Amino acid sequence: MRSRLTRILLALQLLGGAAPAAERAHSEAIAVVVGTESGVPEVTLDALRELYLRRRRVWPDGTRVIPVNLPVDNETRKSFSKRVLGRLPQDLSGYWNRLYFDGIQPPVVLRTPEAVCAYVAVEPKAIGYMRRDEVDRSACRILFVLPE
Amino acid sequence: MRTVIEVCRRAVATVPLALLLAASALAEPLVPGVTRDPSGVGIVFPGNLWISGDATLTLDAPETQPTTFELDDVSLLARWEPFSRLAFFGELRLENLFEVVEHEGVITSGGILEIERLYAETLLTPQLSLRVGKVFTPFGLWNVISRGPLTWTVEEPAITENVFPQRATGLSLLYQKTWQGWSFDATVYGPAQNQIQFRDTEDEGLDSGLLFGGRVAAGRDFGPAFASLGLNAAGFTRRESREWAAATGLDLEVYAGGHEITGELTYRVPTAGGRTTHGLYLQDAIPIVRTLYGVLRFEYFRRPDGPAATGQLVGLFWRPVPNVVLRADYIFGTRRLENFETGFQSSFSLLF
Repeated sequence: MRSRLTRILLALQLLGGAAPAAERAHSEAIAVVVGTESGVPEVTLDALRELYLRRRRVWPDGTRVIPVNLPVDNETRKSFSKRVLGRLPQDLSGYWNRLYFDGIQPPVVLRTPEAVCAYVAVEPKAIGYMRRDEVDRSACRILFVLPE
Repeated sequence: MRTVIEVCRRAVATVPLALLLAASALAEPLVPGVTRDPSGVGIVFPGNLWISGDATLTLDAPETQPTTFELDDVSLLARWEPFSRLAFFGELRLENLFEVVEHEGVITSGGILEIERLYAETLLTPQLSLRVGKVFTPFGLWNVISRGPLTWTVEEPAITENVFPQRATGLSLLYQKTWQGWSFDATVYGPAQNQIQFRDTEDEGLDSGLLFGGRVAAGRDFGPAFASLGLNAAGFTRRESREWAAATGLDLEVYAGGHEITGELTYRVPTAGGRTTHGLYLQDAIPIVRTLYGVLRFEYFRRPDGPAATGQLVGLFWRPVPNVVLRADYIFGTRRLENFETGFQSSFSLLF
């Protein structure tokens, strides 16, 4: 009885089509990645917030951190920003304006998850994020997956 | 009246040309090794040298003063990070280059060049940094971006102007920490101040002396909103006297639903007793469409030598491309003060 109910629910879900992109991205697991050659062993959610707000700009060994963002209209970026930074990208404009006056730049932006993976693979100081199913494990190492 | 129309006509004629220049600057490819800042403003050279700048044209039509159109200031900002834990920052500002005043015509003074900020910064730990040099006094929210073109309004709130020392020279220690979703910020600074009008009398003029102060702030997410509250305190004295004054304050920022709500409350206590200078502002930057924002502000300000004034500001902030900012404000007020002028103000800023 229970498995029949599950099958019906699954069929209804398939008939209903895909969820809206924003909803889907928000519920999907986001993986935080570094290159396979990176020496970064772990990063906490608090540390990730500091890195992406540029409040912290060096790794514990003193090397420069290069946080990498996806484009501002990317659904994964919006979801990451909401979950990690507590605000959508457009809500941070005043914050970045303030940092601009100290010459501190926001994270670099790469257009696609593939580009992020390719970049962190060759730049051991870089850190990025993407949907878990988009991670190229031959080039990137998952540090942790954001809780859904 | 004809002069006002002429001033406005010249100002309006300048805007399309500047927009065209800005757009072409954005489209222009940079040479190899030189990249544009991810924000769209500023250029990064090899060796971690970042350079940016801005120029602002303003058109002021106060209710009780002649209309003016001026090249308000031209700024150059540079940050160089030779090592990951060491940075140098400088800001040069050229002010009052030329002005067109109603009934008076064009006034050119050759400009005044000022070193607005100049400091070295070293990261002692990932959370703790030390700045040595001249900085904007980290008192409240507004003063640290001062008169930059990216403030939401052309005119700063009255309570942020000449109530506490606006620049500090010496040491600044900054601590930033995120813990369990909370953001903590702390800053202490001293020992010198730069150019604060110490007393509210004209004959005292500008002076400099000693300054010590600090700010602590804590913030966190509350559901879909982020809120932060800061406490400020500074003590300062003229170089020739041993009398100290103190300024204390609260600042608040809230981000919710695209709104950016900021506010400050400041009290300045005179040394030899008497009335305080105090005031507050509360401002909401409201997203209208894409990069166009509406701005509402309420202000209250009381100097020691007169009754209080209240004011309201209605404004627009538009950033059509990253290196162009257009602002227009109208200030209503119950009383005119030197730094609380009612009327219309607008500005056009180009950033590179």
